[in-house]
Amino acid sequence: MSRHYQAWLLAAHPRSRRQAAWGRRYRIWLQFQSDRAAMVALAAIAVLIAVCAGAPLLGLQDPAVQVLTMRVAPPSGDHWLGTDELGRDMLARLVYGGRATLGLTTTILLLVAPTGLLIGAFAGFTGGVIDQVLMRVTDVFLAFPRLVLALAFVAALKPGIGGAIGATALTSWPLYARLARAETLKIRHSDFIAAIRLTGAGSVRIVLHHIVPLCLPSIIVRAALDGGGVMLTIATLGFLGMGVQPPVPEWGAMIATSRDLILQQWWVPVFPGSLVFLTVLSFTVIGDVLRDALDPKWAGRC
Amino acid sequence: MSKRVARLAGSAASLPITLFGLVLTTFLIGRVIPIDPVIAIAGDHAPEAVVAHVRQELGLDRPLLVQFTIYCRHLLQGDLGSSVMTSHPVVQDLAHFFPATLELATTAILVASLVGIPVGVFAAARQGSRFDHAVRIVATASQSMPIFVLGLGSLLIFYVKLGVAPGPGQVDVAYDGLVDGPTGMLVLDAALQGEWDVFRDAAAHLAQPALLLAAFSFAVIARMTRSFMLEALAGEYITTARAKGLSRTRILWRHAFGNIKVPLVTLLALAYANLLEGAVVTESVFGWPGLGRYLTISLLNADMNAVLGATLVVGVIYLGLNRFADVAARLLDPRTR
Repeated sequence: MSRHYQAWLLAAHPRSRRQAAWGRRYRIWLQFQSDRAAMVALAAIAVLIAVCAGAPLLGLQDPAVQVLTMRVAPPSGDHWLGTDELGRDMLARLVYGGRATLGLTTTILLLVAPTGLLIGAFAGFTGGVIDQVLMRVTDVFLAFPRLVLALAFVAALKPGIGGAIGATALTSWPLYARLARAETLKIRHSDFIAAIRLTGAGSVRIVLHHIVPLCLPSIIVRAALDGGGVMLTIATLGFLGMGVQPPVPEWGAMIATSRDLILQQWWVPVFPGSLVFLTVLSFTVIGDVLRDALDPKWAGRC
Repeated sequence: MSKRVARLAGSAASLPITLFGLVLTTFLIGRVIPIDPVIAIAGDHAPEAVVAHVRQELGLDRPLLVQFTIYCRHLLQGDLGSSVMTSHPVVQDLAHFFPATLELATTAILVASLVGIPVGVFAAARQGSRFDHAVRIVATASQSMPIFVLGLGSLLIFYVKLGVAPGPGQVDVAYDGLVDGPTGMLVLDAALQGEWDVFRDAAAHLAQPALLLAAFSFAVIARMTRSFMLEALAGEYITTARAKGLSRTRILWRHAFGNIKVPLVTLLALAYANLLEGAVVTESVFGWPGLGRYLTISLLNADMNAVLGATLVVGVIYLGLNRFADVAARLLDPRTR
């Protein structure tokens, strides 16, 4: 059965457009699969997302319950990863903290990548004044280091989950808009676009059905590479006290509140720290391999 | 030639627009803050007449456009308002804290490029070797490491456990305020004035945060140098040079490296600009009295004049370095002549 599918996917002369598209995706997957580091990274992210999403089903302790007599207990049978400075179960806080950190990262990427893609594609395709204005706006946003601008926005929007999402999203979309615009400019004057226009398609239809799909691969690669950066921004905002507010657990904030414990009870800050590191590393590895698979020009170069 | 001038002029024209955008952005952020500046000054229970008076005095009752014009006029006079926290003018604070950040970032970029460029070149020369793999792994890992985790870890190991590094701060309390020099960069000033005790102590304090920041940009510099070199080494002129029987060293450094100097200058300028971001976190971890720490402390105290002033200054420096990278690349590239 699987043989049959493989033959269909790898056919040298696909019979339909759908077969060609899936064949291309399958070949990318085959290349991705052949990289051991990428598969480990993908598995790590999948497990993390599954654990964090299914947190309420795991029968963990309440991450908010404080047992002050049990402060900074080392790992034991009751608390597998010990307790934090207020006697809360570390394992539960790490899982729920991951819900915040990973959840925020995903929300921001899902918010920013499509928005940037649409803005960039429309501006690039329409050209003229709209395009010029858009480019100047992205210039301004890209003229600040991301974290510094995010900090100023958080101060304006009020520290907290909403502020962190808003600030990070506002500082992230220009990258995607610029990328989508550059891709659009490359194909805007192609013959196939002229042909579609001759069949009577309007701008909206051309952009949504013919330009956006062609920009998607580079946007996906950018999102995978950017995922680590977004997560670092979220964790850093949390660390500086401008992100998710206590008592809600979040990896960056957990490191900040326990930073003085690093001398004796090292596991309290080290666990969230290593989780941030491993997740960002996984994002980077996946992004690198995806880029090699989608754009062979880069293979082995970076 | 005329094309080059036209392009330079074009990029020069977009600079004022972007600068204007920077100013507008910081102004708008300042207007939408949830904290009412009037209440911050007049107090929670001030009578209505007082509130109205303060509002009028701050100019907050005027239309937004008028307020923006006033903001711009003050800016042109070098006035960013006063900081509530330090009660100094923000400009004076910024001038006071900036040299420490400059000292930190410059040391870091020097170390990072002195190590990162040769490492990248050798990794490319021996592509696929163990050294090459090791460089890739180290660079990827240090790019993924949150800088505050690395900072706390290194404080723990070198300051607490081994006792070989001094603790947070720019200099030991005993030497505080002894040297007050022309540049504001403590290590440099101490050397200039021949205060060698202060110099040694300040240099020791500088080492840890600077090396940490250097690790942050080493990753980018080594990775990109390697990829530039691989591209250069694949060129046909390299094959020609080999056929001519030139030595490996000469091919590597003169023919390949000579051709990546232009993208390298751009890369270094951008890496230097990005250190401003790394400095915000590093300064907070190491208690380094620079611009980044000033920014975070002002943020936590909702000192908006200081926050917006620091943001604007960081934005202008960042933009300036980016523009410098563009212009330098164009001037250095012989093809644009």
